Amino acid sequence: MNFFEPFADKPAIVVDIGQAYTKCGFAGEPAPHAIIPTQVTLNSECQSLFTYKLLPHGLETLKEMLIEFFYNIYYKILNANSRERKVVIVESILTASEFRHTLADVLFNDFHAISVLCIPTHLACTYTLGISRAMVVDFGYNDCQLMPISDGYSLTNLCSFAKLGAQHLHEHLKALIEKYAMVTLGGEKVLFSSLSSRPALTESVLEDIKLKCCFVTSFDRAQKIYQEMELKKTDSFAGLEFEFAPDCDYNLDSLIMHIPGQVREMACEIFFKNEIDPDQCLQHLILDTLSKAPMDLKREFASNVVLAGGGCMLDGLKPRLVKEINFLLQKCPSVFSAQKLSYHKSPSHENYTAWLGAAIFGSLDVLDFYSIQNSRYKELKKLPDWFTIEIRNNLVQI
Amino acid sequence: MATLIDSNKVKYLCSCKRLKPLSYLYYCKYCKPLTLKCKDCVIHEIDQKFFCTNCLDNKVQKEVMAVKYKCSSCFNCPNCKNLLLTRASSVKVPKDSAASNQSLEQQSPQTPQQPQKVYYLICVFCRWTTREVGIPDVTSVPDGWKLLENPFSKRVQELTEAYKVIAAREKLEKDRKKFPTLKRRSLYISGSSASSSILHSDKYGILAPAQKRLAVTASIGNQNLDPQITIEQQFKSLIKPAETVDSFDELPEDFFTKQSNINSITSITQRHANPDFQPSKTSELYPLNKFYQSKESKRCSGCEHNVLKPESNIISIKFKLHQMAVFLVPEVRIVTIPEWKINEPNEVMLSVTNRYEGDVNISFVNLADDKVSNLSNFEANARIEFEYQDSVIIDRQDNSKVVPAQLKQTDEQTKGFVCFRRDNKIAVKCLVTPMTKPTNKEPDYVKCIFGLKCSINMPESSSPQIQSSSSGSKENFTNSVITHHVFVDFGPLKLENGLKVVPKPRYIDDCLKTLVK
Amino acid sequence: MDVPELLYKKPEFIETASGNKVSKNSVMCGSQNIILQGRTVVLQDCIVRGDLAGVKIGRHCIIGERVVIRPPFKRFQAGVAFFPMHIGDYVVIEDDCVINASTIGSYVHIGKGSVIGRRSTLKDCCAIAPNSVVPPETIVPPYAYYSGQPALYVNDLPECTRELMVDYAETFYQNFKAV
Repeated sequence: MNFFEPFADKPAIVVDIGQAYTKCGFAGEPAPHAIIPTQVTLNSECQSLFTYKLLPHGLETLKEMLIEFFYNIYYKILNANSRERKVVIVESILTASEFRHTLADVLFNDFHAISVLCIPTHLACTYTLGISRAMVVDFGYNDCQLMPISDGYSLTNLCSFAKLGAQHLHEHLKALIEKYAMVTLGGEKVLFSSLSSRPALTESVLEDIKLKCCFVTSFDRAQKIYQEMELKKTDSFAGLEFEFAPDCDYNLDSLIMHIPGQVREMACEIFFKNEIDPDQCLQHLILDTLSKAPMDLKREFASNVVLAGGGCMLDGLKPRLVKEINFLLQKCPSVFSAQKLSYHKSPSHENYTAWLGAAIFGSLDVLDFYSIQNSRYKELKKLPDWFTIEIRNNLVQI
Repeated sequence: MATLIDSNKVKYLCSCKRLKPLSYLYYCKYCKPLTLKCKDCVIHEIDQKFFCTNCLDNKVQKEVMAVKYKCSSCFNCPNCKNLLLTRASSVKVPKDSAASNQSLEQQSPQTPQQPQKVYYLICVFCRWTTREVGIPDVTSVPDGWKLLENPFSKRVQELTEAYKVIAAREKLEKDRKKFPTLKRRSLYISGSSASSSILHSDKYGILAPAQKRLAVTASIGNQNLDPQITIEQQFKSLIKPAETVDSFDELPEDFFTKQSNINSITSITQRHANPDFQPSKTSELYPLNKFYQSKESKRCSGCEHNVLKPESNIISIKFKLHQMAVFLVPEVRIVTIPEWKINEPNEVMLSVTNRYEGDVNISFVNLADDKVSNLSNFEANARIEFEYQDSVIIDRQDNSKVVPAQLKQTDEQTKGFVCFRRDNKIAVKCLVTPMTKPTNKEPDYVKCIFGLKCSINMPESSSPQIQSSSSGSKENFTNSVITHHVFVDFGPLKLENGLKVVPKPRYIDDCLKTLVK
Repeated sequence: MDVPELLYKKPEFIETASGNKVSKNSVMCGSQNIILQGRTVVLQDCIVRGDLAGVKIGRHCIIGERVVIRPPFKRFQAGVAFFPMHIGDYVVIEDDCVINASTIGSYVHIGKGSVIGRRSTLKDCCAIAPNSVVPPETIVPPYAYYSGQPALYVNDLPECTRELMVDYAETFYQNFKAV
């Protein structure tokens, strides 16, 4: 590091590119400047950044999309000159290599960033709490990722994930709506799916329905519902005697869709109960990882669980998850001797916890030691991955 | 005007091998040979002056960063993102200041009341007002609706400060490893007992920022040099540890029995518009401040010279430096499209406009198809032929010249190729043959590529202009010839049902009578 | 596509000394308050309400068919007052628009069927998409392209908009020929 480098008083740019939403802002701030969808308008078409895999000339299209995306972030949202700023990117450890390399290529060659640091999502979450050991659960769009962190290292051998993200919730919700939702047509209530020309249930519509109508029901109610279903030996929850939440009306284009209470309460049950594979649910995910953890760290992980990601902002998800975990712990005491786990509340809304951690790290002096400088990237020609030797050397060398 | 004319039909090749319409390209005259640059290969720079588009309040970058880029007097509606207007209404307030402190019940009906103006915000499009959410009306507009502080900012500040101390210590340890000997270290750390440190003699003032920073680091670092205390222990002493909870608040019982009002729940975009608070109920929405913006100037990535520079006056739309490709390269536009017949030559009319300050000699060139179409993802499937291969002169815009182009180059010379000429615009006829693909399938679109060879007289700009003492000295002009690759997309082969073929314009100039049949 | 030619029947249009071409079946209320600076084209069935307040339209403007140009008003305790309206040079207003703006700058393009709310200000070199609604009292900054209902910023226009608008408006005027 050059001794005579002028004191950079411009804070670094912190960007967390999620599968659905991107959080961007400046280091040192308590909240991101903007939360925007991870979409780009290319050739008058608005599409998600991650659909590059489906398009012809995938990687080239990804590069064009990233250039447009970051141009938007730098010059329209953050009003920052790309050549004068350091960049901190929050990424999942399981990000595809081709995406990382294209991202680094765009940031260094097209935007001439001073330096880039890629910080893992789960590690970043621990910076918002000031703890060095934690088990971080990230509820994302594509999946739910779980990773224990110890002393600044992500324990990737214990990393696990489940296909229980917002995307799967939307699919399940769509199936339920097609099956049960009613529409008032000519004074009569008909099934929504029986309409010949019905408005498309796009992702944004499903997300809106999920926000406004759905919630995660409480543990006690769920137990009663499942008991009744078992008694009646039925798979569906239509026609049960249990008093579900009241129906609600949702405005879709010019139609009023009546969403029955069963759909409202039971849509989110895929997170907690899986008919096909009983182990594919959130509570099992967490406890399985805990049971595999090394003996000396088990207690620390159990008393420092961090719930992050937009998914856990669903109404009622957190209390239900706690109750489900406690229930399992009672059933199998071999996992962990204590009766309960302890959870942290980060000083942020959960959907930008990782961003906040990266913003705190980005305001520190040691940022330069951990980032890849522009000159070093030009030598290496690619961004080193977390498992390569170069990044270790970079930490020791200056 | 990209909005007026569908400029996505004719694209030019930029130096970074991307295809863009001519109105979106810049040129750099300092790069040899002359290169075209597009938005993606040019370096953007934000100007130092920031302004609010609504109230035109301008600030310098440092001031703007302090207010987090938010204008304090202009607001957007949280419901529909439109502008919020300030409306005034009168409210009766007791005249006496002592009486005004009493509550309404205590005041007797006889206390003298005076009308006071109070202000509230209203959105003209969706009629949302600050009164709906319960925000009290304000009495003075400049102080108005203050920016609410993030409830977590204090805790985040504590965490950041604590981490900064730890980071400073870590940095010091790393620096110590870098300079193992004491002598070097003393040169590095200022303010220590070293007497002849380089940093003390700051003759030219360049070391002031570095000194300031090292002073802060050293002062923190000096406190922490006790190796007995580990980093973790030190951190715990600086900050209150994060508290854990064993359970979370359950949903209230009436949640499951009460009818929910969908209109009282915010949508995801309304929540994301305010990341600090992300209100889940519409009763918690707060006016959003408008953001400051600034103008952009562009720089060539090859030679670092400015390509576009706006005026410093915020209101002005002019540019100090305006090197756009439309002023140099003749613009090709499609005038007519025929009804396509496959494998037969169809007549197409293209217009070429010259916006350069002098005359331009152009000629149309057929390019070797494979090489050029491989440059980008443009599948050319039609062959374009030009009857006249020699150069055609296009006049410059300013018609004050004595010799109009009509006299310079008559239509007999161009053999009817140029079917229209007025001022700086010509229209040419060419033949386009859509070809079937090797699989004998009909093509969906008709696309073709050709080269536009332009020869212009450009002033020499590589060396700085030296003011010669003799009067009447002329600038050196060099004749530069550039071939621009033009990619034309005529559109679908067969128009969809209901769309008519674009009618041919009926130019009434004499030389065009042959075309109108 | 380049600017198409438009032919009109001579008796249907009035051509003034300064080169303005105004259709005969457009209604110009209060024509003494309406100023057309020169070489402006006003197509059929337009309504320009000069009787409410002064309307000043610049040079080389193109007002499409069935456009309503009405000066904006402000409600006072005493009553309603109408404000004068200024439209700059080289402005292209397409068919079926309703314009209540107080100021439209130069080199502006307003798409088909859009509604410009009262007392809004459109600065130079901006564009409004077809079928958009610009809410009252909006200020549209230069080089911005607004679209939607309510019209919100979408993207930027190229920096050579001024020259392209001049070119379009002048070519349109030259191609607007009497038969």
